[in-house]
Amino acid sequence: MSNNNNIIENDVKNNTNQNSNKNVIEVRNLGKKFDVENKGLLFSKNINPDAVFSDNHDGFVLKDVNLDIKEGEFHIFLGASGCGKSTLLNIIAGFLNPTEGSITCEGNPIVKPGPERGVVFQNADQAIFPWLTVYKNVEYGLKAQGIKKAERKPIVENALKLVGLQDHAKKHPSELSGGMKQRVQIARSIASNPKILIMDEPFGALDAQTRRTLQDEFIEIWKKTGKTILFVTHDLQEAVYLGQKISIFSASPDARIITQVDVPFDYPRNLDDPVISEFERKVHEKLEEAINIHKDKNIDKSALSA
Amino acid sequence: MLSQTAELKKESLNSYFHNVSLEASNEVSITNQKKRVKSIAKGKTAKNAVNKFLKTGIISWVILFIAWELASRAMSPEFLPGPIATFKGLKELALAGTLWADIKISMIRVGIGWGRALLIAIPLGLLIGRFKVVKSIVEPLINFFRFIPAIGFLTLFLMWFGVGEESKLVLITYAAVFPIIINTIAGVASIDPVKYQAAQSLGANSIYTFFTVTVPGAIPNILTGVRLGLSSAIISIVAAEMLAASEGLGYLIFTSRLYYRTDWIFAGIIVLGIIGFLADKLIRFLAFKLFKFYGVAKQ
Repeated sequence: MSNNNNIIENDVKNNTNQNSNKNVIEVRNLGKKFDVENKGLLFSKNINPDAVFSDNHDGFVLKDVNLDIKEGEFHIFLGASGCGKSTLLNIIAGFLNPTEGSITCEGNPIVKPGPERGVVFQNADQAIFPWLTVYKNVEYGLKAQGIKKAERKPIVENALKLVGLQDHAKKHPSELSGGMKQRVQIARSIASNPKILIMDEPFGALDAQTRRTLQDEFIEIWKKTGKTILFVTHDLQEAVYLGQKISIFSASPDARIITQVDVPFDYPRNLDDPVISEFERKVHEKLEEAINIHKDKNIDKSALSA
Repeated sequence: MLSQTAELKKESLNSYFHNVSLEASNEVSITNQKKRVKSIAKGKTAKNAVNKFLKTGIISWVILFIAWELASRAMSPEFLPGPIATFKGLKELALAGTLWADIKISMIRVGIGWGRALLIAIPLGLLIGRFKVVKSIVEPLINFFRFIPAIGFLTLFLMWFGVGEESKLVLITYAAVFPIIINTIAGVASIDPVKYQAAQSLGANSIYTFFTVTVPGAIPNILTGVRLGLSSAIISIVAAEMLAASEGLGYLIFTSRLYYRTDWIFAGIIVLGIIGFLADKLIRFLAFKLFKFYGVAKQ
């Protein structure tokens, strides 16, 4: 926390180490199974419990997941709805514990949520505190961690400046637009100077125009802070537009990361560029393969029995 | 459905173009149009005024008073005193000075009893809502006792707490405590779990989360409980002052029967109603001023 005083300066240093070989997150042979009794408590509303608990497999939503997220990397989880990518995100955030395998953040096992793993939730209305001003929302984590008032002020002001909300510090969330609320969430997480920023489809609920603006702004924020980013999306274009590395998930049950793709383009990217759209098409093919993985199996089976 | 609306749009677009071309060629029709717009606007403000008037609720009161007066004329004044007779009785009590003393003592009793209920019920409700251990211990008892009306305990409270103020205050507190607890529990349950996740991810421990997420998040429902608790307190004042009291609105209502003064009973009832109505308005006004950003609705 001692480096917390000046986020931007501190992180420019990190920026030079971007894509170093140091792993922030390491996931080894991870599996996640929901208890049958807890069917109703399934975390992602997208996972169909009946599919997971049906016939011949043993209720694993995720199975044999291996993953390294490198320091400074912009890492994307891409997969269809209900593929378990949000479940893995929740495990990394510490909201869920894995059934098997191991998961560490900078070498320390992850067992519960913590400020070193900042989370930006999909729905800002659910996640930010409507009774606090923008300033106090951003200050919340620092206060919770017992940082002194004099130290908090420059951090909060920097974080607000970073997301462009310095003029809205005294407003309440109800006075902000959807995009601005999402900026509050980003600033709030960044203020705690996390090792990794975990984002669960953060721009999914915004209109197309605002989404594009925030995507561009976020690339700038990432460049300035050098944060490691884990970004979950089911939007292929968003993945190609933002990510350095894309982990593609197969469909659940027994979902795993079946391919990883490095995105070799500089920012800002132009999705109309024929090279990039060709790349996007290829990623799309891999995604289709991943989604249809179980269907192919079924077809094979029926072919055998016939 | 879709094609229908599309067609409608087309039609209205066509008519719009039609109008434009017509009016472009005819200045007079434009001024006509303006006049029409003005008259429509006038109609609208008149409609708004009617709506505003309807919202005040005056009409319901006028109807009630007329019906009441008519009904009272059909019966003997002792059986059903009309609004005019009641007003006369009220004036009589006010001039004698007993009315003000009764109002004062009853309001103090309600205020203390209700205030104690708040101090007990809000923290308890928050703890029950947040911590499963507390819930499993306390909630079954609450669900038993909340169905027993305060008046059922009247004799027992007199016996246990004496004939002085204390037994009355206990009775009022008992009546007010349950709606506040139950609404506070509901308020805690209504908090989005994502808020707790966010707080944890920002490094908040469970005690800090309790004070910064549970308490503020439950405020809208707590205020509903506070209002319902106040109405329970005011309702129970009559029971509280029924026995072993020498002043208060409940005493007035209960003892007026001895003098066959049904107009005083009505006067007492009306004063209680007005006090409750005004107190509730005040709470709602303050709640909106203080807790606007906690999700407290204006109406």
